[in-house]
Amino acid sequence: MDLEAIGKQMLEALALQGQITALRTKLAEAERQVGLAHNAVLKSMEHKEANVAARKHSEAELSTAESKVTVAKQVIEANKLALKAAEAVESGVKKKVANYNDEVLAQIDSNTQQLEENKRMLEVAREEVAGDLEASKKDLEARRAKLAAQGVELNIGGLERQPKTTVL
Amino acid sequence: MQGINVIDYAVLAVEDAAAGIGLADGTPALPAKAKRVYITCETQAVRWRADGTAPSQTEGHVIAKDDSISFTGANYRQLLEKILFRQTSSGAGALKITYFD
Repeated sequence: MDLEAIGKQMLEALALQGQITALRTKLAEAERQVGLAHNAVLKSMEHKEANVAARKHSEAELSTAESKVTVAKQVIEANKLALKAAEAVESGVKKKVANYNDEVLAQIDSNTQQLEENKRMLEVAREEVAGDLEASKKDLEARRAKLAAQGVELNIGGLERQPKTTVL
Repeated sequence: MQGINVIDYAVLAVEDAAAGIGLADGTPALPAKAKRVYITCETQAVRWRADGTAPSQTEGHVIAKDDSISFTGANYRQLLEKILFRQTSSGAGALKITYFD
């Protein structure tokens, strides 16, 4: 064998070894990068699953909130109807009270007029009675005078108090 | 029938102060043997009490003007010693009194 050729082959082998080592180093680095990328992908997938779960949770909460809003809107509508009904009742009651007040005032006016009329009639009756009484007194006095002139003492019970004797 | 004898006659002016007929040395004086009286009221009504408390113008028994009261049904000596008279709000009155035994 030619030594020069062997030497050349040995140098080529060394060079190849060097290249192989470099390639191995590159391979290792590439594998490391692949590992990192793989981890990143896994992490990203985890994040994605977490985001899906969060989105689902948010969607559920949104759905619940929308249901509550719907119920609240129904309650508001029901309250509006109840308020309208109450206002209608209040309006009716106010009208009734106003009518009743008018009736009462009219009754008071009527009673006042009647009272004035009764007072007037009472005064007329009093004057008539006083007049009649005066006439009766005069008549009685005239009769008493006439009888006295005839020697008769007239004593009508109830007009003069009779003396009384108490015996113990 | 037991007799009844008149002992004395008196007049009592009744004004706005209690006055009695029951004292032996009073005015009028109660005769020693007097047990009964007959009283007539003149001028105005008067009130009387015989329970030891003086009558007032509104408290006590009323004797109206021209009325009489006769304490003659029993021995009223004790009442006569205590009886007091007083005028009413109508004004002064006067009593005419006859004492009996």
